[in-house]
Amino acid sequence: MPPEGPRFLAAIAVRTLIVLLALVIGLRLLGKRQAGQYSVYDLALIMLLANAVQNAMTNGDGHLLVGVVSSATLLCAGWVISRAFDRLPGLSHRVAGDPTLLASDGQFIRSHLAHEQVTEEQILAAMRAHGVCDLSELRMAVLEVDGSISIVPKDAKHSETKKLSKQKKRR
Amino acid sequence: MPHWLSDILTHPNTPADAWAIAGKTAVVYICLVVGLRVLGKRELGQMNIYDLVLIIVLANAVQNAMVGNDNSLVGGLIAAATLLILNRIFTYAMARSQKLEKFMVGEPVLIVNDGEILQSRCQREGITREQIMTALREHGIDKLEEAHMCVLEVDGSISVVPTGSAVHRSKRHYKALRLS
Repeated sequence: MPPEGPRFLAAIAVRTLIVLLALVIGLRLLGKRQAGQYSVYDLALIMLLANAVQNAMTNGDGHLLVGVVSSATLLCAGWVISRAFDRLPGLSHRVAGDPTLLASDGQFIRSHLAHEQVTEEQILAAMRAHGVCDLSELRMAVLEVDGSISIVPKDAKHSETKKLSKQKKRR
Repeated sequence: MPHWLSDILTHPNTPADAWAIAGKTAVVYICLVVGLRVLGKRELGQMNIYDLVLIIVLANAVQNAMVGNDNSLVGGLIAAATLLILNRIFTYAMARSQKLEKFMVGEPVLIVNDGEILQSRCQREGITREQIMTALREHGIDKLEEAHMCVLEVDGSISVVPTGSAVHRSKRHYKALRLS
C-alpha cells in the first residue's frame, strides 16, 4: 500500500525538519564535548538518539518513498545550512560556538574545564594521543567546536590566534 | 487544530504513554552503557569490523524497546530529550568528582612500557599485537623499541608516547599508569 498522497509526504518532511532542529538545539545545549565521543556514555547517547527519533520522522512508515522524502529533506537542510555558514561567517561562530582554551603553559584553566564539563583525565588522554607526556610540555590545549581536544606542545612553532589569547587574558 | 497541523504534531495518546517512553528510553540507555562498559574499552575504539557491526546492530536492536509502536513526533522528541538529559547528568557527575569518573568510565591502562608489550594486560583488554603496531604506525613509529609507552585510553583508542619525550613519572596523574 503506497503512502497516502502529497500531504502525508509534506508532513513527513516537516516532521523531519522539526526533529533535526530539536536535535541540533539539544546537542548544542549539551556543549561541544558530546561530538567527541569520549566515553561509553557519549557513544550510547549518539547511537540511541538516532534511533529514538526515527519513528518520529517517518511516522513509523517503512515505505521507500517516505524514506526518500525524509532523507532528501535532511540533505537539503544540510546543504542550506552549509551554504548559510559560507555566506555569513558570523553565523557559524554564533551557532557552532567558539573553541575554548582548556590549558595554557602547563596549567589547567579550571573554570573553563568546569564550564565545558571536560575532566583533567580527558586532557591528559588527548596529550598522550599527541605523544605529550607531561603537563610542563604543554603550551595549550583547546576544545574545538567539533568536540575534539587539540594539543600544542611547547616546542611547536606557533602564533596564537587572537581569539584564544583573548580568552587567556580574561582568565 | 487544522488537519494538516495535527498530521505533523502527533503526540502520545496519554501522559502515561509519554512517561512510559521516557522511562523505557532511560532503561535502554543505562543497560547499553553497562553492557558496553562490561565488554571493555576496546569496543569503543571500533578497531575492527566486528566491533563496528556490533555498534550498528546494537543501536537497531533496541530501537523498538525505546519508543515501542509510538510513531508520533512528540514521542520521539521525548525519547531524545530523555537521552540528552541523562547524558548531561552523567557528564556533570563525572566532571564533579574524579572518583566517580574512575568508577563510571574506568582508568587508562598502560599496555606497552619502554618498548615491551605487557602481555597480561593486553589479554585482559582484548588488544592484539597487531593493533598496537597499527597505533605505532599511526604515530609514524615502526619499531616497538621506539615506543616509550602505549596507553589504552578509556575511549578505546591507543595513545603512543615515543621515546625521547620527557616524562616525569612521579607526577600524580601518571601514578595510575606506573608499573607496580
